[in-house]
Amino acid sequence: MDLLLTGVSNPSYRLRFLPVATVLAMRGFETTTPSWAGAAAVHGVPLRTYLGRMLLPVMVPSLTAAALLVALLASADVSTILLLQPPGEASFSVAIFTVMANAPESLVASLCVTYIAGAAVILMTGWQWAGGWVSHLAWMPHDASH
Amino acid sequence: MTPVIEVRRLSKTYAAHVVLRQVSLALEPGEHLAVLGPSGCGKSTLLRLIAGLDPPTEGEIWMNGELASRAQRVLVPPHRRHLAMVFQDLALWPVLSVRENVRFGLAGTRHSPRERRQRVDEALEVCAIAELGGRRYSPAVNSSASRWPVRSPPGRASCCWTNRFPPSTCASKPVSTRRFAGSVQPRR
Repeated sequence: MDLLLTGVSNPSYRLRFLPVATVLAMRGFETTTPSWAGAAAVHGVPLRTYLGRMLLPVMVPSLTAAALLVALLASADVSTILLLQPPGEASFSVAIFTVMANAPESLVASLCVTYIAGAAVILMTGWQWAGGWVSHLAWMPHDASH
Repeated sequence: MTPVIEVRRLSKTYAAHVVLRQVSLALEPGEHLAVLGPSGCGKSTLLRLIAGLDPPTEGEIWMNGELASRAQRVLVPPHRRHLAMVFQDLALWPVLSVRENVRFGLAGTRHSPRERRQRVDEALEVCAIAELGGRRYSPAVNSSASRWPVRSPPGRASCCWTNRFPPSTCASKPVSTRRFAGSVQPRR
């Protein structure tokens, strides 16, 4: 039970599934059309109002699906955790930190470079994808000032 | 007389693709202009530039004698240009009812709730869809034109550019959507 509480229910542990949730949420976002944001911009609808009253309700189904899928994956990971962390053994995370602490510096450095490069690729891809949408939202006023 | 909309040597390129090249036009008050051309020739791009949704690559756009856009810059944001835009897909917000769609267009104004209600009622009356104000979007039907009650998609679109009675209206392919042309009523 401790394992479940510290592993599956741990928010930082569940962050491992953030890419999965992000992909699902992005698919939901793609169901919107740029003209919605354009129409809101022409009418001067404040950005906060547009996001809260228009975009969020449209996104709710995909966000719910993403949350459920992450919960499902996290639950299914229990067997993996039990396999990697038999009773009395150090947890998988502790094992990784132990390797990082004791491995040669060059190996740890190469792991870090690989990790950062992967994160950069994901961020750049996401930024390029979001660029078109940001340009539509850019003209929306931030408050009711007209 | 100062033109309501004046476009001077307007160009727009997306990466290496030139969409508009050195376009110039001027619209006097009360004048109507229809831009015709094959698909992909830049009609909608021209409207987006005039509405201020995109900055031009080159050239200038003047609205009522005021410089609204110049190269790479949108100087006057869309909601301050005093114009309305009917999008090709009508840009209906699916989570809102017909009345809410019209009212949502007034969300950025400083009108009191009572004034907004009056304007929405007036706009619905002008577009002859007052009785359909409570209808909601139905995702059960697949056809985009029939997701809304009869007359509502064009009605909402025309209402949204009627609710503030702007002096100028840009419409992207307004007759391409079923029943749109028939829904447009003379405005005051």
